[in-house]
Amino acid sequence: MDSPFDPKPSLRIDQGQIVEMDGRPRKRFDLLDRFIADYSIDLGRATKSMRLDSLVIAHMLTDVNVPRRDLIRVLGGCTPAKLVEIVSHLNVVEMMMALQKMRARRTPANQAHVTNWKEHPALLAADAAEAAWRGFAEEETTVRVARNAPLTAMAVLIGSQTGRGGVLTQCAVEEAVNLRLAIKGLTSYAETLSVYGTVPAFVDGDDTPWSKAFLASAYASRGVKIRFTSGTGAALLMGHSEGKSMLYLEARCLMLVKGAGSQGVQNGSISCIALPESVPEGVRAVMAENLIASMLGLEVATGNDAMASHSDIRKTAKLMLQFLPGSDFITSGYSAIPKKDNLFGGGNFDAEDFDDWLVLQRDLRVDGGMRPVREEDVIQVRKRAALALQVVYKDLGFPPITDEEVEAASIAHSSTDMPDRDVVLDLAAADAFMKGPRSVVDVIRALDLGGFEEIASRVLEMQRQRVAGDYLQPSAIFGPDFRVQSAINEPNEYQGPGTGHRLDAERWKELCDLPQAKRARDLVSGKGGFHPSHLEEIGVAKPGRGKEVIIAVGPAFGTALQQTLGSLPHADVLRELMAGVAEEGLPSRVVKVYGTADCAAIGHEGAVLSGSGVAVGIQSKGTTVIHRKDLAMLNNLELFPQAPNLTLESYHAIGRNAARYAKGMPTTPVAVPIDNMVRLRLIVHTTLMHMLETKEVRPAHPTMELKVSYK
Amino acid sequence: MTGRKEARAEYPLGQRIPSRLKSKGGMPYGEIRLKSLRRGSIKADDLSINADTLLIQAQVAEGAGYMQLGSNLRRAAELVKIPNTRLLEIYEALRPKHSTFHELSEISNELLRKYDAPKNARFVREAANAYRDAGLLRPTKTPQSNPKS
Repeated sequence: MDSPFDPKPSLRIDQGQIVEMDGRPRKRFDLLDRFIADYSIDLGRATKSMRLDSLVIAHMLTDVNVPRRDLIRVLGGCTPAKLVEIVSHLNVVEMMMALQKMRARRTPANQAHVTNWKEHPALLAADAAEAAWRGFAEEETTVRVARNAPLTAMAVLIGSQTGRGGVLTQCAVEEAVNLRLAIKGLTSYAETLSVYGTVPAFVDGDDTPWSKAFLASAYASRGVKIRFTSGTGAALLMGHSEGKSMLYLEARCLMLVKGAGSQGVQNGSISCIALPESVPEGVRAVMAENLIASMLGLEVATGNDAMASHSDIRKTAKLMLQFLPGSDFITSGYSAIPKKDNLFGGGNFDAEDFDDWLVLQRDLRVDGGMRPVREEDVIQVRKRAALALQVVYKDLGFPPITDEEVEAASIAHSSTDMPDRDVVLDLAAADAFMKGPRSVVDVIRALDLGGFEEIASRVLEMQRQRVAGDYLQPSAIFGPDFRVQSAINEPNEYQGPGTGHRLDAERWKELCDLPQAKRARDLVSGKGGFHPSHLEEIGVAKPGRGKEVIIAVGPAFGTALQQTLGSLPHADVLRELMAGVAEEGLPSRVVKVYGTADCAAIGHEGAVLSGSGVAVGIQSKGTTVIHRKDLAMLNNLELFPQAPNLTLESYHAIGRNAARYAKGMPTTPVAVPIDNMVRLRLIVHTTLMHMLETKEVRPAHPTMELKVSYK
Repeated sequence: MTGRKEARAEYPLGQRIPSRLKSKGGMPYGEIRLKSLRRGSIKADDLSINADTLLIQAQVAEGAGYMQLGSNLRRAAELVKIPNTRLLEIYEALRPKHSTFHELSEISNELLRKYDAPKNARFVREAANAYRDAGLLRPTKTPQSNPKS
C-alpha cells in the first residue's frame, strides 16, 4: 500500500497556481502532476485541507456525525499523497464504514457482463434480457471479433430493454468505434476510458489526460454517460511504476479522472486484481482505492469482476469489503453467463453463483443489486427477447434468426447449446450497418412493426433520456419507469443507524422470496406404515420383573409423526429394535412416554420400568439412547445423537446391545458413521419434528404400554 | 439562464422541466414518442442532446459541488455542433505524439473561430503547452500520415 519512494503530502499555491505539489516544484511536474494541479484540486479549499492532520480527516471519514458533503469539500482540496496518507490510517473495517458513507448514490446497484463465445446474437439478447430481469442496472458486453460490435450492441440493447426498461448498456471496443456505436444509439454509456498513474503507461495506452478529457466531453456532447477505468496494478503490469506504491499511483489516476470531468470510475484493480492479491495487504489497497474514488465524489464500480483467486473463500472475503457497505456498482461486471462464455476474462462470480449471491442478500439483509426470479419467467423473457431480435433482423435484412435459434436461446445455458451461424454473413451485415445511415431509429421501427410495441417504446425512451441528459449526472441509473436515480436527486446521506439506504419492506420481501425456499409444512411428511390399530395402548405401563428390555418411544411416535429424520418408517424401526432384543433371547415391551420429549428422559423412564433396569429410548425423529435406571438422567450406556445416520441395521444392533446389557454381558458399542454435514441439511427438519413431538407432550399423562402388531 | 441552486431544483430535467427541453434537431422533448417515429418525423439529431440542456446539466452538477463534471459538460455543450468525424479527428490529434505544436494551435483556432468553442480552444492550447514541455509533440519532420513512426 505504500513505498519508500512515495512522496510526502505538500502543496504551495502562488498567484492562483499550484507551484509545488507532494514535494515536487512545478518546474519538475510531469504531465500528470500538471493536469492534476491545474484541473483536479479545489484551490479555494486546498490550503485549509492540506493543513488538516490526515489522522483528523481519517477520523472524520469514520465519524457518522460528519456528513458526506462536508467531507467531499475537505477532500476536494487534497493532493494525491494526502489522500493516500489519510486512507493509510484506516483498517479495512473503517474503510467499509467510510465507503458506506461516501458512496455517491443512496441505493447500491450492480452491473452485469453479457457475452458469449460464439457471439450468437439470439443468445446475447436472451442473456441480456435475463440479466435485466434479475435486476442489473447496467449491462456491459464486448466482442471477440471487433467488426461484430454493432450487432452485439444491438442484441444487448434489445434484450436488456425486453427484461426491464431503463437498463444502461455498453459495448467495450476501441474508442472511435465505441463513440460511433453510441452515436447510432446502440449503447447508452461507455467505461472504456482507461487512465494510468504514470506518464509512460499513459503514452503506451496512446492517450494523455487531455485526450481522455476531450473524449469524455465528446461522449457527453452526444448525451452518453461515461465512466473512466483505472486500477491498482495497471502501471506496474505495464512496467512503469517508477518505484511508487500501487495505491499512490492509483490516487493520481483518480485525481485525473476527477479533473477530466468524469462522473465516475470503475476501479478496484479490475483485470489486474490477481496482482494485488499476491502481495501483502494488496486486497486492503484495492479497497482503499475504491474508497479514494468515492472520497473524490466519483461514482465507483468496485471491481469484483475479473478472476481474483482460485479460492472461493478469498474471493468471497474480498467481495464482502464492497458488498456489505454497498457501492454504486458492487461489481463492475457480474458474469451473468457461464465463465466459458465470458469474453472479459472474467467470471469471478458467474451465472452459477446467482443462488449464493441471493442467499447472501437474505442472510445479511443486504441489497446486492439482484433479485430472485422464477425459472418460468426467465424462460419467457428470454424467448421474448430472441423473438424481438428475430423481427429486427428480418426487417433490416440481416441473415435470419431461425425459429430453432429462438427456441435454443430461450433455454440455453451457454453458447454450446446454440446452433452455429454463418459468421461471414453476420459480419458483412455488421459492416453494412456500421457504414450505412441506419441507426437505432430503424431498430425501433422494426420492433414496432413486428408487434413489439412495448420494447420499441423502451428503446426509444432510452434515446429520449439522452436528450434530457439527466443520466450524465454522478452515479445515475434508471429505476422503475425510467425514473433517474443519481447523486443529485438520491444522494447517499448515510449518517449512522437509521439513515441512508435501508431495505424497505417491499424490497426485503422481494429479496426473501427465493424460489428454492421451502414451506415448513412440506418438510415433515410421509407415512410410517403404521395403522393406528397396530399400536394399541393397552393400559398404564407397570414396572416389570426379570430380564427384559423396555423400548420407550416419544409421545408422537407412530401417531403425529410416522418417520425418523432419516426417513425410516417408525414401524420398521420398532420391528428391528424388537428383533435385536429377541436375537439375544430376551422379551421386550414397548411403552409410550407422554411426560417428556427429551431423549434421555424417555430412555430413563423406560429403564425405571424395565425388569432388568435397561431400556432403549427413542424420539420420533429417531434419536436413540440405551439407558440404565441406576445412571444419572444425562448419563447413558450408548447414545446415538445423529438420527439420520442410523440405518435399520443400526436399530437392530441397538436392540441386541440393550439385551446384552440386560444380561450383564460384555458388549461392543454399536458403530455409527459420522456425517457432520447432516446437521446442515436437516437442522430445519429436526427443529420442526421436535416441535411436533413437544406438542404431543402431556405432563400429567402416565406412560402407557403398547401392543404392537404387524400385518 | 437560471443559477446553480435553481438549476439543481429543476433536476431531473426530464420530469421537472420537460417543456423547456428540445433535441439537437429542435424536436420538443415531449414529442419524442413512438407516434412521431411512426410518422417518420424523428431524425437522428432528434435523439441527441442540445447545448442548452447540457448547460443546465452543467449548472446542476456545479450546484451540487461537482465542479469538474460541470466544466466537462460546458465543454461538451460547445462540442454539440461539431460533426462526428471532425470530433474524432480532434481526439486523434490529441493523442501523444500525433500532432505538432502548430497543428494543435490550428485546432485551437478552429475551435474558437469556426465552432465558437472557446473553452475547448483553451483546453487544446493548454494541451499543446503541456505536450511541448513533456516532449509529447510529434517532431515537425515526421509525415503526419504516420504519426507513431
